[in-house]
Amino acid sequence: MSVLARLVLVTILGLASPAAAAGPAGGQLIVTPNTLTFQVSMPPSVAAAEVAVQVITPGRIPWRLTVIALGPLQSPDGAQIPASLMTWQGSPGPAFVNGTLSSSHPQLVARGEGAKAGVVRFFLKNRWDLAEGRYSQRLLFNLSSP
Amino acid sequence: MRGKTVVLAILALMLMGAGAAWGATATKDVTLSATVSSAAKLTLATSTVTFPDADPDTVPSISANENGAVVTAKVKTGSATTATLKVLAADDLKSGSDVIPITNVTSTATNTSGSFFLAGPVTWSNTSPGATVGQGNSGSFAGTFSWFLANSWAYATGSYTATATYTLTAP
Repeated sequence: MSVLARLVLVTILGLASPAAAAGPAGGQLIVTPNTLTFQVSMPPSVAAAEVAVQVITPGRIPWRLTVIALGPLQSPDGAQIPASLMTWQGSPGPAFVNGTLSSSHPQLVARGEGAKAGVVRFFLKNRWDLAEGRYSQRLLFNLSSP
Repeated sequence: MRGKTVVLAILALMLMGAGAAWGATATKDVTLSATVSSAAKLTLATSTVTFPDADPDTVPSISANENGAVVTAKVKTGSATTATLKVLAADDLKSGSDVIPITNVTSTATNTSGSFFLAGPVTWSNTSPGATVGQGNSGSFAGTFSWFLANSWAYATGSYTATATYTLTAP
């Protein structure tokens, strides 16, 4: 390979590499805060908490944002709350949608083209059969472009 | 050499185009934390239990007029702890100086939703913490209560009263 050809290749890699480092080809996902806290008291009161979501993309690139729970909410003494007891309301629509959390399949939170910002408000269904305790789990938000 | 350069330049343009199509993902972790507090709620359809006069020979156990009263207990407790429903009488049944021991009163229960109330018969007590009439884990339960007074020729005539308190506890 000639010297000129090598230079062109370096240029190609130089274009691809920074995009991958910054996220999906220059796309960026910001979710704040990074902790959702619910205080569950006597039913029928509903526990709620919200996150602000910001999707930053270069240009009008189509994207999808999904969320999955990495299991049921767990307490240290082994009690569990199914992820499906948690629902959310996304706004503004139609980019942000409402949904029910799952620990088995990613659920759509938002989709669109280009930069978008919204709020996702989560609700934990309050039932008498929930055992008293402190529960925790992780949510994974995933931003992708087809 | 010129040919190679042209091919690579086209490849570069194709890759830049693929960047616009965006075939990658970004992820973000959020920690979920929920604190479920203990809670208890008790309802009883009646606040008065009345035993009518009866012949001890034919009615050895007097049923209260309010028997079959609906009771609901809603409770949130720890997964390793048990909620309890107790009844504690403040004193014996009294009519002036005449006394009928509160232990002559018993109650039974029927569960109509879930399983929390003890079938009994449960003998009442005026000694703390009282008699246990229900126990179980977190949940919403419904049932009916009935009360009975052991009848006796030994009781002096009179109108006897006592108060008792039902307490639902979620430790």
